[in-house]
Amino acid sequence: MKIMNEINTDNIKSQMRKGVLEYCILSILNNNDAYASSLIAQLKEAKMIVVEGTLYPLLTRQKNQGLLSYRWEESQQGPPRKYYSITDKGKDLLAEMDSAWEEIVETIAFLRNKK
Amino acid sequence: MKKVIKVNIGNLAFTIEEDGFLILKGYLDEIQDHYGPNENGKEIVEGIEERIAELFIEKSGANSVVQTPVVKEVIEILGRPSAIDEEQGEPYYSTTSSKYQKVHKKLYRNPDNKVLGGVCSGLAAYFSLDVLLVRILFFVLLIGFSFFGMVHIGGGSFMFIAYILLWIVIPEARTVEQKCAMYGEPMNIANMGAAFEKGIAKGKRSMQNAAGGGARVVGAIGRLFSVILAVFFVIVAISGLTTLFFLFLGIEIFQGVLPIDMLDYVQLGMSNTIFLKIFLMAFLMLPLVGMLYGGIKLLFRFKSPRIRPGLVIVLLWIVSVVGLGVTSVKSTRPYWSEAKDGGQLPLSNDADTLYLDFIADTQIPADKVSLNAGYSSYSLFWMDNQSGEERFVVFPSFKLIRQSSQEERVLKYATFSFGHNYAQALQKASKSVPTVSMNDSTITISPLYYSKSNKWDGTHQIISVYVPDSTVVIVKGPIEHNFDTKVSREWIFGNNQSRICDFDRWSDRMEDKFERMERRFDF
Repeated sequence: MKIMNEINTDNIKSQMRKGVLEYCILSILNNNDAYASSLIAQLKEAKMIVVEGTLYPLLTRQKNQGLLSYRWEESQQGPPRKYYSITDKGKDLLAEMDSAWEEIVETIAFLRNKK
Repeated sequence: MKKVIKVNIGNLAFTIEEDGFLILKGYLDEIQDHYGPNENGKEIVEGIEERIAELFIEKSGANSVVQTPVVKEVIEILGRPSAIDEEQGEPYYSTTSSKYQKVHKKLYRNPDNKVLGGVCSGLAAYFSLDVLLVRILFFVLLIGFSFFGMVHIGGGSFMFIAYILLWIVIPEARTVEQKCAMYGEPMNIANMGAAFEKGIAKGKRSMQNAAGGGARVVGAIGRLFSVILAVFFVIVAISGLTTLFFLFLGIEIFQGVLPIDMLDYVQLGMSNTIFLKIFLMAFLMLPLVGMLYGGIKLLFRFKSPRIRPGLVIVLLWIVSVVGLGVTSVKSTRPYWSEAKDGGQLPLSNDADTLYLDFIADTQIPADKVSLNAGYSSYSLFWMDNQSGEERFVVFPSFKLIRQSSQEERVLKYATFSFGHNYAQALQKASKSVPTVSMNDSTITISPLYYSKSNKWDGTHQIISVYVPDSTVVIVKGPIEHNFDTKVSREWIFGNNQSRICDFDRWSDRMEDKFERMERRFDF
């Protein structure tokens, strides 16, 4: 029975993380344009991702959805790297996500404090 | 000394140990396969390669050789496709149709659905067939081999041995992974959950059943015996039921097919035997039905349905026993009492020859009669349709009783009959008293006629004549018979001893035979 609980918590956690991971990427890029490696560094710092490979399919998907774009820029070490930035469409979505997020946070806070 | 390989990763040149290179190549192929060969896949692989290059520089510097442990560490950091998908919350298998989705189907014994060892169930899973179909096929082959006795491969035991061998050779699917592989399904959370729940349920059951390995072995042996017993039950029950079915069917059919259906001419007092037949059938068949049910139940280990067929069968059988008893006793009712009706005629004292005349209302068909005559008895009957209807013509049995000349010469006639009580028996007897008349020295005897419309009711007529030794009694008419022809033959054996043999029943045919024998043995 214990194992089952663990499986479920892991599942819930990863579901939650998945929901907000794309939101996190857009939030970071909204502040500054970034290389993939710096995105990874920030997400890892925020404990949003464990395995770095997770980022790449998400970046590809968001780029295909027109939420972000990239340009090639020289990096300190050697060859040019992809430099990601948020698009207008991405900013619109981010605004919606912000309000949705606030709503959720408020709701949770309300529910938790309700006696 | 280690072999190294130079590679270009993310537009940067690296030197990697050979083992590390092979592992890295495997990893990148995995990513490529997982995300597919399209534009997206390429982009993802490019990104990951780029990151690998960065990490290599970070870990080992730009110009040194990348060690195998570093390669492994970096792969761990980036994550294999399964880890990536898990983190994204997507089930691993559903992303693409890569080779990782294909799970190799393997042959296992299925412990979750088994009769004996789970062999049929496992085979069914492997060949994607219905378990029931495989079991029926197996059973049919078992029986088939038994019946048609392919002796050189051991008949039915061939399938039995084959099963035992498969049982030994095929491993049981123990883990969730193996169970999924048995069906050729990929492992995923849903499968695992289902399997897990099943496992818990099973665990509970096995805890209830037995604890420890010893008990498990005993359980397995017990199961083997119960299955053998069950198969035996089923075979006996099926063959028994088939035999009984054809027996009853056969009786019903052949009763009507016999050239002369004797029962059509007989009235035994039981007008309706259908209940007797039904009860007899139920009495014989129900235990077999119960056996069949029990065998099947034992074999497939299902729980009794609410209606409790076993109990129903037992109750029905008790009913059939009672019913059979009652109908049997009832069917003997016509024989509970016996009665006799008749009379006697005085015979004239002076006649030294007595003639018997058997006269029917039609000609006696001399070639058709059935005759049983000796020197003290004469009974005659035949069957013909001279009167337009197929009928039996039966004369009363005639008995000649020799006595001393002082005793009264008399003819006695009587009918014996059975009935439920004496009155009924007597009534029946009086209805068919023999018709006898006396005229000078000739006794005329008439027969009784039985046909489909006038059935024989079980009565028996006897005419007895009491006369002294000196009186000669002769049957007239087409079937002549001299009661005083006592045939004596003297037999002489090899040691010159002789013996006189008297023959009670003598006929012309016997005479012929005897003469032929005499010639052959030179008496």
